[in-house]
Amino acid sequence: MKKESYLIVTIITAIILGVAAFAVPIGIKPGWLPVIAVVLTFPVFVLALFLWWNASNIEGDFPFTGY
Amino acid sequence: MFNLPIEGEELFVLEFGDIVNYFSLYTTTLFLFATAFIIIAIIARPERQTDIIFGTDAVYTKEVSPDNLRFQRFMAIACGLATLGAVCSGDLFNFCLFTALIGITNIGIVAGVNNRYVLNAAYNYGIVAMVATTFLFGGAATALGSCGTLSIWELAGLGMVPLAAKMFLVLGVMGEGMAPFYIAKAEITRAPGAPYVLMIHVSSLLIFLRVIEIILTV
Amino acid sequence: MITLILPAVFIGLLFHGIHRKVIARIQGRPGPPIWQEILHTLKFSFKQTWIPKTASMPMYVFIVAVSIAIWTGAFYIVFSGGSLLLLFAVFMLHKITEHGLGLSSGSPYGKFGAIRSVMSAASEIPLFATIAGIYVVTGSLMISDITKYQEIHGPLLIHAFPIAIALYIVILSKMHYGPFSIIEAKEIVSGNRTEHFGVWRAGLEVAYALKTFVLLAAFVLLFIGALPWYLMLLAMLILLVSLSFVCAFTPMLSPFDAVAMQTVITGILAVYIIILGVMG
Repeated sequence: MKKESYLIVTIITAIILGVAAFAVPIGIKPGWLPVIAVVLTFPVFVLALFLWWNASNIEGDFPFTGY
Repeated sequence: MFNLPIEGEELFVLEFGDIVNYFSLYTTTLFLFATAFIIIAIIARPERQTDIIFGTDAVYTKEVSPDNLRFQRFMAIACGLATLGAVCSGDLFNFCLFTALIGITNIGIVAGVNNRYVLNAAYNYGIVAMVATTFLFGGAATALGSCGTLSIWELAGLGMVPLAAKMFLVLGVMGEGMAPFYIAKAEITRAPGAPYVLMIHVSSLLIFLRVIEIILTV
Repeated sequence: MITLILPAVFIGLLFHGIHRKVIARIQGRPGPPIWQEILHTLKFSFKQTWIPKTASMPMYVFIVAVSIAIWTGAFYIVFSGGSLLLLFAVFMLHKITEHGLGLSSGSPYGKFGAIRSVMSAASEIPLFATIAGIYVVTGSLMISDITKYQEIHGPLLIHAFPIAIALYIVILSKMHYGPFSIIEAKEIVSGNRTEHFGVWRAGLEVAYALKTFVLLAAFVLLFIGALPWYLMLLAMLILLVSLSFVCAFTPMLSPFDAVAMQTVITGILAVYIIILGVMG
């Protein structure tokens, strides 16, 4: 995937996590909904964030494949 | 669930006539986990296991042939579906039936590998699973004999099921979920593993978790 | 809840760093700075990342996400006063993810790590003894009920000491460099994590940081009771340092000894619980 698509996934999951953090003041009704949302989106957020800043814009060199 | 402080609240009840399956917070978690692994078993391609030719520096990869792959994948999915049944059934007999089915499909997953040693191991597991079936259904029969019903709804919180029946159930589940035996025989290093072999462990551990919930409840 | 999870990840990583530092000081080495594990995670996340040709995709990536997800769930279970049985389930699911990590890559080292992980499923049995013991003593498996029980009757650490020992051993078996951590023994490179490098490894570090935080917090909640957050962190730190001492002084056991020892401990606890059940 491209760097931009990782960024988009990171932003979407960050928004979901942000909404889940304020679930009680907003009044999202079934109490378990934000919990499920956090459990499902937090791993995606972490991996997408890491992959986003890991992804490079320039062509990388070949990995070392052994002697 | 059942007004017992054990497994969290009741979420959903699924009735099939007098067979009433239930989803508590606990069993739903197990259910979702099993579902995720079934999906993975369907879409994942198998690992290509690397092995070292003994005494040399050479390394080769084992490929799974399409025929074996189809059979193992079918068995893994069947095993996953049996696990789904076992974790949500509200009836001791159905639980035992699904657990026995898990034992059978587990043997199928192992037997799908064309290797003399792995097949030999599959044969041994078959014997263990058959012996365990006696304990499993023996446990359910003892519970039926002493309580007159096998519905967890009726038995919950009464403490009527004798300790022997509970021990039989645990022993049966330990025999049917063959992960420990599979490990002890080290055939896992010969059989290409993920994601099909992993299904054995998923089902073994999930039915073990379920049987603990059952013996604490009834 | 996310506002608590992010600090928990950083505190967990800091705890890993403190763990390494304490072990190093006991062994007379200077040791890494205590924020080393945070840097480690960031470092891994910047490293070049790809997927081995032999790996089972998408399982190879999925299992890392599952690892993070289950401990996020466990964090919620502990801090919302949920069921102890669910926490036990998360432990078992953690076993599956450890196993899956090793199997998914196709590497023989990963596979050996995975085998040891299932073999050391014996380390989960003391946890079952803990659960059974707590159920016998307090009559409930909800963490909220257990903390309430302790407000009335005093900490469980005092009048159910053997059960606390059982959970202590479970946490010990999950610590890095501990006597029971046979799945990451150096003779099998990094065990089940051998082939997960770069971003995947950074994800795993996040999951394990959450795991350490949740386990220490669960011990404090179950055996000392609900505390204000700063005392809670202090209690967790003291617990961690005591674990580091054990890890520093004991060599890693062989797989057979590790399993045998945990089984013996469980046997002793089973006798204790039966006596407790009959007497009480």
